[in-house]
Amino acid sequence: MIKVKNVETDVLVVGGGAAGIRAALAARGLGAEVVLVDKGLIGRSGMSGTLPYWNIPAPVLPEDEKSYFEDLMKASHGLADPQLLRILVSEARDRVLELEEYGNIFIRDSSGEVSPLHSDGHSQARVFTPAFSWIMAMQLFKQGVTVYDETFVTNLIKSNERVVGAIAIDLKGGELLLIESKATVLATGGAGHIFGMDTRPWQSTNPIELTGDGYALAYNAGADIIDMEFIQIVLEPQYSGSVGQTYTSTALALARSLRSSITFQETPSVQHFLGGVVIDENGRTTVPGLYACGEVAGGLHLKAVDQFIGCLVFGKRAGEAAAREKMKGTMPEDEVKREVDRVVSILNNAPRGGLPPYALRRKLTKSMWEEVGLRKNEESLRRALAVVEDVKGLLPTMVVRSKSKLFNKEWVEAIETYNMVIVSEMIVRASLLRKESRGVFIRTDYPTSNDKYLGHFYIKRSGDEMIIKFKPIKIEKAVEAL
Amino acid sequence: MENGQKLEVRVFRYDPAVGEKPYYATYEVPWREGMTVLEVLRFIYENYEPIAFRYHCRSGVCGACGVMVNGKPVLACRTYVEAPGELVIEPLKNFKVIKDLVVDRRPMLEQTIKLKPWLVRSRRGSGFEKLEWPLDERDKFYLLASCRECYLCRAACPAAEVGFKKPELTSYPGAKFYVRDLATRLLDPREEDKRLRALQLKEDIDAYACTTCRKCWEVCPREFEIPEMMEELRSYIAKAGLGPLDGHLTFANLIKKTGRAVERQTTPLLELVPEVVDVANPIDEVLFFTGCLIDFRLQKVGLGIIEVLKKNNVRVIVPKDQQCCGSPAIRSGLFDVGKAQAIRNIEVFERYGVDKVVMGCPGCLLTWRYNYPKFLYEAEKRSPRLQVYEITEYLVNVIGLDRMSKDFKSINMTVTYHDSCHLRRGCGIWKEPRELIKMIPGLKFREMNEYDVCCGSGGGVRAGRRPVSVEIGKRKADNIVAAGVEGVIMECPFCYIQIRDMLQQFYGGKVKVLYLIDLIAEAYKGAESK
Repeated sequence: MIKVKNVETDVLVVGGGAAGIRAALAARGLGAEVVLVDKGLIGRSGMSGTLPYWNIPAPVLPEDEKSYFEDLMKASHGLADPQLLRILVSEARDRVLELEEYGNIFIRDSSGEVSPLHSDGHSQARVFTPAFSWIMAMQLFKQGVTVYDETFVTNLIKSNERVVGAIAIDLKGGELLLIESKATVLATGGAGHIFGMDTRPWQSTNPIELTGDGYALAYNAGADIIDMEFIQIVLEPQYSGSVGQTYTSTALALARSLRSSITFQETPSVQHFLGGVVIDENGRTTVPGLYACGEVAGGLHLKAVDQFIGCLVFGKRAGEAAAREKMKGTMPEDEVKREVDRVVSILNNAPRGGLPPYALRRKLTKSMWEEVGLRKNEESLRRALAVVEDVKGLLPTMVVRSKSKLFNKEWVEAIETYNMVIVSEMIVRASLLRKESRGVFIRTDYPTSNDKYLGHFYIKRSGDEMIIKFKPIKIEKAVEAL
Repeated sequence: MENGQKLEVRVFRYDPAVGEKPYYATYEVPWREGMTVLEVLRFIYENYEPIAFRYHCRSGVCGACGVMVNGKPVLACRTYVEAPGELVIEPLKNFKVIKDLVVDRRPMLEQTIKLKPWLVRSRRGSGFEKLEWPLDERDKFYLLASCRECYLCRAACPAAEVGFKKPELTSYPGAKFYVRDLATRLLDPREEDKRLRALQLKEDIDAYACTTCRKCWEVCPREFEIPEMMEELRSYIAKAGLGPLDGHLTFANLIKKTGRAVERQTTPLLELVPEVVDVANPIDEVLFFTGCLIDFRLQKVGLGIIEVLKKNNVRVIVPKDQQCCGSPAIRSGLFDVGKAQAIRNIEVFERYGVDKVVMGCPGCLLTWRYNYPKFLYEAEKRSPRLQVYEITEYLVNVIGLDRMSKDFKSINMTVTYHDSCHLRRGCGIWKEPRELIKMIPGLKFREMNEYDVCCGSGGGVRAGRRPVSVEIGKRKADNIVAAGVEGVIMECPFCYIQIRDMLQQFYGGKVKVLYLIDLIAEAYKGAESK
């Protein structure tokens, strides 16, 4: 029998990176009880937790907001929601200022004035640096947020079309958590590990935990998801030095810390997902009770450093809106039982000849990297879709070798694999439908952009089927925004 | 499996959820050039069984993948397996184990939260504040804030080990807590209550339990100068009027009063020897800095140094008005006292126009080598015109083993060698003493377990936090006795006194304690009288 623990809270935040922490602090700031669940170590996992430090852009002065807005709109190739971007640029400066209040100090010039840096794609020097993940994570404890780290949310639970909580595996405690909440905020980050999970060499700068769980949770709950085909792949310097270390890093500081004979070559690697769960200006998804912010949220179409400020601005908005939700739902027993049974049966599954999660994942990620990663076309995407279908078919035979409930990472990997299949399918199907190249989305068989595709592919679950619908953006509206 | 070279990997296994007792499982893993420990673990995970271990980023940033490899704490993702052969992988030391290689980091997080490592101030700035922030403080802040929170420092720390096993003796948790959590607060120009931070350092962190043995520095993936940081932090405690401890003040006051850190009991070395010890055809000329312990307590060692130098045709000058190097004050954070000693001693020694200074105490050497140039630069904006050497370093690297006199008598004895922290990690001297030991005929040498782990006397711990010092010292004595030797050799007066006391207290003086340079002098002397 598995141990079960009931947890009740006003706001549940799933994810402990920049967006999740900001959302939790915002909700807590309005007096809500907040539970934050992090799949990895708090402050040290996820995309933001595994960077040496953050570079965060914001308009230096209020009059610079316009130029930042224009830069972001241009970078999105017309796909960003101008309304969301306007909010982003108008609130960015305050979010960055807060980081200093937490204990960070940005670089100052010789006269003691703050001194922002230049960054690619920015018309002005507006990147503030450095901010540290752990300094922000400490605010959770200062403000009294309840943190469960190394805890993995397996699914959201709905009652009357409303998200009322979640089921989670607490790895360290070896038990399940049934978390009831008035509102749930997804801040799970992206899904870089769909493109590779090996220790080395890697196809993604993302840490291993970025398996797209939030997209799958939202999808399972019936939320709209857009732009899943837009994935930023960067050329990442991969250093190898004679000092016996090989690693990649976006940070020059890390390179500088290597003292002797550094050589590096640039390797393509998956960095960010630009699409995600559809949100309104307060981080509301299309499902009542469910919010999203950070990389898991779509609509902002943010790349690289801009992702950070998106996390902070919409993290705060989502957290505050979530704290204002007053409806107290109860998790329906049959829904809870169904999910607990699913999770436990994945653990206990022992069919003959079944493969462990890593083997299925390797099959999936290899195909995703080779057929969908840097270069893709109709044939490669068809092959990838066949692999996705194949792996999906193998999921029921997946074997978790250890049946221990304590810190059983393979158990989590198995559930993640279900999520990865869903997310891979979204990416491949949307990529097949978008017969053009636009921004970071490049198809070798359609190398130019086509105004017919100026719009979003909306993905939604209907029963067991993935429904994808195209909604165009009115060209006039896009032009007007610029 | 390209060339069939294999690793035999022994992994610590433990799963209390299925009622297991801890055990070691052995796995055969194909070795290849450039393989990391993380890849070894992944190989076992995939091809044998799903052992539990943590990792996130695979690139040395997240600090989650710390494990002990062959007894040494490392980050699995950044550690190469250099050659085929045996590998023992265990969970980080000084932690409770949750499962296999996964340790319980929660008590560490709780301790961090208790320190409130966030900006504390009543006044809020508006907009981006203008900040006067000295560049060196800024650089230090950024560096220390980039601590990976990997806890390798804790796993390597003898004082944290005492705190883990006997929490009633010390709450000292390891370097991360003051390096990251408190030092960043002290370096923040906006932080209002620095006295609170100093108090936390003293009370919550028990900063005076750190022996400054540099084990943390040795394993830190960020290569922080942690012991220097600790001394700097102790100076904050002193500035806040909260330290040092009484035991440290005794030394400091004595230095201020008499210029020496040790009280006179018998005739000191400086009164036993002439100012100039001439030899017939000198091949070199050196100044001898005795140091308080050798001058007042271990005169025989000092005489030994002079004898050995004489035997090797080196002219020795012993400046009579030399004083304490200032180390006891500096280690406990009283930089002013240390600085005054530095300026004075440099002045005394530069007077002779001889540029080499030889000494037999690693504590003095470290002070002369690393603290003196800084102090002198602050005071006079120049570097000392002196080269300092530990006597074993001088013999091996300046005189050279070929040129050294081999006129030894045989000393028949099984021996082991204890590395002084200040000598090994502080000054990089560990090969030289071993080479000298090998020169002496009759000595049968064997290494003991944990030969380079602190004896518990350094950093003012013996003076200020005796119970911690004894606990660390007992472990050293245990290791010495377990080596089954007749004698333990060392090259440090602090280690010598501490280890002698510990062996006496716990083993009735079962193993003979030998000062290396004294032993060499003995071997020469025996040969002369033959």
